[in-house]
Amino acid sequence: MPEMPQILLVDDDAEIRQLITAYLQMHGYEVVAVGDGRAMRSALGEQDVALVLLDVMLPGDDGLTLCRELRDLGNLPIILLTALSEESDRVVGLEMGADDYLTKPFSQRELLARIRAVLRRSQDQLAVHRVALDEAYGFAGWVLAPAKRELRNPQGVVVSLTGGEFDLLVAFVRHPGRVMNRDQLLELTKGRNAQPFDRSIDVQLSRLRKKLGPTELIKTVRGGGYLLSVEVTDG
Amino acid sequence: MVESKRQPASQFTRLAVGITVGFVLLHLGLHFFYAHERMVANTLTFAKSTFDRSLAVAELQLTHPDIAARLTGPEFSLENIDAPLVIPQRPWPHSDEVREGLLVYLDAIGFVGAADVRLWFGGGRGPPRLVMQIPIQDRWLKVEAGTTTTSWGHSMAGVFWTTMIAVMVWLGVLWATRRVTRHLPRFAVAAENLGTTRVADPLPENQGPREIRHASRAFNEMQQRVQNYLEQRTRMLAAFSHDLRTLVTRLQLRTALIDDTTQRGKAEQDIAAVTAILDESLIYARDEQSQEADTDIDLSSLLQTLVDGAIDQGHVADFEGASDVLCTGQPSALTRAFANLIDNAIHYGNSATVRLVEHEAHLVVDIVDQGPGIPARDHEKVLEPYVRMDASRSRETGGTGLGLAIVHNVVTRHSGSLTFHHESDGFYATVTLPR
Repeated sequence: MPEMPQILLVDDDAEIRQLITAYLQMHGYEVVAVGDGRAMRSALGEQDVALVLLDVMLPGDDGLTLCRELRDLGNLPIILLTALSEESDRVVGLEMGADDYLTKPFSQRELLARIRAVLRRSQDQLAVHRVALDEAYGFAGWVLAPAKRELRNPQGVVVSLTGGEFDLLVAFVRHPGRVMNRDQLLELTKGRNAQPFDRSIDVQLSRLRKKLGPTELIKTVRGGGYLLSVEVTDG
Repeated sequence: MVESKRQPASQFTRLAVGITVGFVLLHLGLHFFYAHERMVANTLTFAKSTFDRSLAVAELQLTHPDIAARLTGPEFSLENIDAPLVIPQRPWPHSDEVREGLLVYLDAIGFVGAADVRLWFGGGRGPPRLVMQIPIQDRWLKVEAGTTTTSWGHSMAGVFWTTMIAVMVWLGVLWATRRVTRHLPRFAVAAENLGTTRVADPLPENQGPREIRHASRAFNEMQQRVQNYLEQRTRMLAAFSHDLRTLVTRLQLRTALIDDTTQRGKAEQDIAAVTAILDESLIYARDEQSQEADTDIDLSSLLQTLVDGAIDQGHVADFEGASDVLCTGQPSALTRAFANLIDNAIHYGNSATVRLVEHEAHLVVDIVDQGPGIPARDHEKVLEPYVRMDASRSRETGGTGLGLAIVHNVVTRHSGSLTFHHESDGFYATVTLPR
């Protein structure tokens, strides 16, 4: 039987630590639960941790500071437990290098699903790509800033995208010139912003193409693949 | 009362118009007065010298007629007359004024018979001619003298320089007025921004006259107090929300331990409702201080995206409108506002039709649903925070009483408006935004 990954939980509420620990252990994960940043650091020194669940509101160093600290140390997957589902809070969390976020209150099922998704992605080299604070891509005059979840057209106007459309576009600009089939796109885009109601890749692709204007930037390749057909630059 | 459609003029404009009219009138008045005085003075001088010259030449005619003959001609002639001159009906209007001036002079030199001196200026077109009657002993001397000056009053150089001075003083006064009045718009802008998102820089406390400095200082202190109060409220709500959220999170995690699936579902619903109230309260409080930067937004794509999202969740929604319609504003705030309106339409009216119409100066977004809508008497009330149309129904359907207040805040901050009305095809929530 393969060894189950160890999860480090950082939350200042003892009850919550206890409830999450019990639930995750029930699903076969080993859990180390600590109450603040100092305890987190010493736990990291002793244990072989596969993923950190990090509360944002902590006594002492807050979760965002700890998140950035962890990110400076290495590639350890991090899921932030945030207080408010507002876009700006999520963005800050992702800017600090978190892999995903969960808004409190969350259900046990949600937590488990996110942990599985992040762990799976962390093993898939193609998908491991965290958002850097200043990450931005330019293509055909458009600018896509994943950290801010913002797309601007060549005139500098903000163009709105649904979560799914945005992830799709991110997948394209991160793999420029590469032909991707529907399965690959699905794998690259599910996870972080996937909604249970998300339409098929095809619907999202057609909407995305429409928003990108009359020039066909995303081309359909014979044999069932798609390709962003323009040059992508950083910044 | 019918309100005038024209924007009232600014204080500076009013003052500037008043000052300008005053300056023009004063300048013209002074100029005409000066020109008149100068003209009378010039003609008087001419009359005096003609008088002296006449006596001298008359004397010469007796002693040296040949010299006297050389001194007279068409421009200066002497004639002895027996009867007094008849003054024409309409001589040059200022002739009498000149005559009076001359009489003062004659009085001063002790000329006898000054009362019999008559004179007028006339001569129709061309340079005016002086016609004068001088009594000498028992006879009258008629003098006619032409002048070469065409304009005795106006001097172009004089007009030019006085006008230059007037213009310079006028500009100086306008500048000084501007300096005094420009402080007021600053107050108006600062007051408009007070307690809203657009963070107003404090008013400069070391500019302008003493009263303005004092008022600026007082205003800044007030602004600071309001700001502190708002921040305090947000902090309080955030702390409150965080503590409750911790408890709600525990509850949510504990629901997994409830075996009865019906009860578990209900517990989860309650938790979702509590979370919604916490979230919206915090969003509402934060929103008043939102510091999101303004940018150009593709409003069509924003609305299309929200409608697509609703369709994806299985709702009936539709977007009608041109693509690439732009506006300027805060993207997240506007997204939240339109999302709230679309959610309301779907929640209370089962469907949302979103229409975007461009007008010359503004954009109109209609969100139309087929529900009962909001009765007209409540249209104003529902924009207030924590006010519900129908408390019992709202609680049942999970409203928090903040959704429309948040929309109203966002729209107002964008200098737009939110209104409601019924039409044959449904209930309209209409957002108007400037372009």
